[in-house]
Amino acid sequence: MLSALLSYVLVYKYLGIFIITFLGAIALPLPSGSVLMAASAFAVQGYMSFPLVLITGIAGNMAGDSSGYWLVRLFGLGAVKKAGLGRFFKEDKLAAARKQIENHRILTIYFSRFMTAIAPAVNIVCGFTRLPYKEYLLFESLGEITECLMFCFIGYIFGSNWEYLNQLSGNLWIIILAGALTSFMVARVIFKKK
Amino acid sequence: MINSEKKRDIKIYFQWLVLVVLVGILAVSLYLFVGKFESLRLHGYIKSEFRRQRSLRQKISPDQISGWMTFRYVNLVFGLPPSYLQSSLDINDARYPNISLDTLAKEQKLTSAAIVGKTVAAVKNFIGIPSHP
Repeated sequence: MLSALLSYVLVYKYLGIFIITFLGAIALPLPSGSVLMAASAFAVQGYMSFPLVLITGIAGNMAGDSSGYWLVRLFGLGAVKKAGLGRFFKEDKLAAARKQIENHRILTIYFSRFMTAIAPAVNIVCGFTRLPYKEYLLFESLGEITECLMFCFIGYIFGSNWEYLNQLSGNLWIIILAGALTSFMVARVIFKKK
Repeated sequence: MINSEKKRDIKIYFQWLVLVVLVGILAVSLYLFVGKFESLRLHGYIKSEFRRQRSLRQKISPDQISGWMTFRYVNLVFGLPPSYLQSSLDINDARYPNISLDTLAKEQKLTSAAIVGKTVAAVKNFIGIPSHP
């Protein structure tokens, strides 16, 4: 699949990057991180502009996330009620879920950006619970900017050898995420004891 | 009172359990990462990459040419004149050079490997590397 997407990027350049990152952020299981890494390597080779690759990647991801959030916020409840699942989405339960997200905004919104399989689910939950958009956008955009910067700089630093690094990056994210969660838990346990 | 204390204890145990699991994941993934990183370093992909000049970072070898690459990209990376591959491979498609090798292979009812092979040979010929050393 990555090969087909890379052809698409080489032919349509920034439009291709935007569409791939947008669809990946909405819910499709596309390797948008690897695409950004490759596009940054193409930028090193002079085929594209690095700042534009970075900006397009961030814009595509943010637009995809926000679209997912607004689609669910505007039409989600109506759709589940029509499907006869309204009893699972009662107002008090949604309010409780919203409170949980508000208490753990960094953990749920920011860190979920690094996990392509989880981020769309978090967008959906945020939309369902009607988390204030400004609040959602702040942590979502910070997360996407961090993620895109990391992928793009890996591609930029390693240039033509990005393909070898592509297989490493999967492990890298697990380490970053596990490290961040561990620090969070340690801080939480220490804080609670005091 | 006892009930709430029990709940609190369960919560703390749960937090520690999560912490232990996370530390475990961190340790295992770090081990795997270091292993892979070391293997790449030993094969020269990482060490050499950091030491190379920017110009070298831009280059790929003709043998790395793949079906997903477009002719425009191949022309740029190897510094080929825009019409060189068109005439060498006898390409009549109007979309050239903004077409991938795989797409051209499908249109010409050839295998991807055949087109890639022809392109590699043409590139090697241009930059002066013998195709069959």
